Amino acid sequence: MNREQFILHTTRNLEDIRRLLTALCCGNSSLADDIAQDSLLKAYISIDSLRDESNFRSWIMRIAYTTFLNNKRAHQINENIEAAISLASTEATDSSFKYQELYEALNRLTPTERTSVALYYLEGYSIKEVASIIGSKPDAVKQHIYRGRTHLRNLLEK
Amino acid sequence: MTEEDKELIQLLRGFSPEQSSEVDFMARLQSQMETIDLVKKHIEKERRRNKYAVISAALTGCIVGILMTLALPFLFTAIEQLALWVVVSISALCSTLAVYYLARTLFKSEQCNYMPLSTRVSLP
Repeated sequence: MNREQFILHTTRNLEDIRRLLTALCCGNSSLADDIAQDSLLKAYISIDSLRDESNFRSWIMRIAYTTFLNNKRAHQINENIEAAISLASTEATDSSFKYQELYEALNRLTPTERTSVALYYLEGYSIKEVASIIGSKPDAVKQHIYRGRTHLRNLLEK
Repeated sequence: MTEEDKELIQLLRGFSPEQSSEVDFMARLQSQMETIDLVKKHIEKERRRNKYAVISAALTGCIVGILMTLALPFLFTAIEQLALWVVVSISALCSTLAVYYLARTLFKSEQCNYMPLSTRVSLP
């Protein structure tokens, strides 16, 4: 895949990548954009490892997920959701308020639960695809989604 | 699935946070990609240079080794065989190393054209 093709695929999937990362970063869109940039650059560096172009979306999502995890480990994303919301609100006030409760609830989930829920419900991946992206087994993913959904429901009800 | 679950799923499926400009995002990405391209090109050039140097050095090592071995009977017949072999080995090794470094210098890549004129440097 050459540079032009990479840009073409990236443009097609950019909205999904950024939306997923915004959900994983609990609404901190600046951080989500930084991670998206890092992920895409990592993908561009290792573009030769992608054999089948049709797998681009899953491949880039896997890179985005691992970059998010690495970033979280390295910087220990601030658990205080208010800080994240205030950052996000400078760029997207309406959107942040709209999803504030969801972000708060997502912030309480473990990264794996959050990612499983986001990939399954937000991006519409199948259980098998989610499992391949996060490097887990389908049964485990089902558990993550079930637990994540239950937690989210409980947190949103409060 | 309960009613609450359905509501939650609807909320998640309709999730569309406001994003900053896609154009700006892509512009930033492409400028970083250009930097990566430059680094990739440089690494590729270095790899090629190193390959030529290794091939030249190996060939020289072989040739010098063979020549010295052929010349062995005519050289210092009085000296012990072992000592001669040491000489042969050292000569071959020195020539190999010398040609390796020489080849790296000779196959030196052109100046970095992508750098501004003021910052152009010859690569080692």
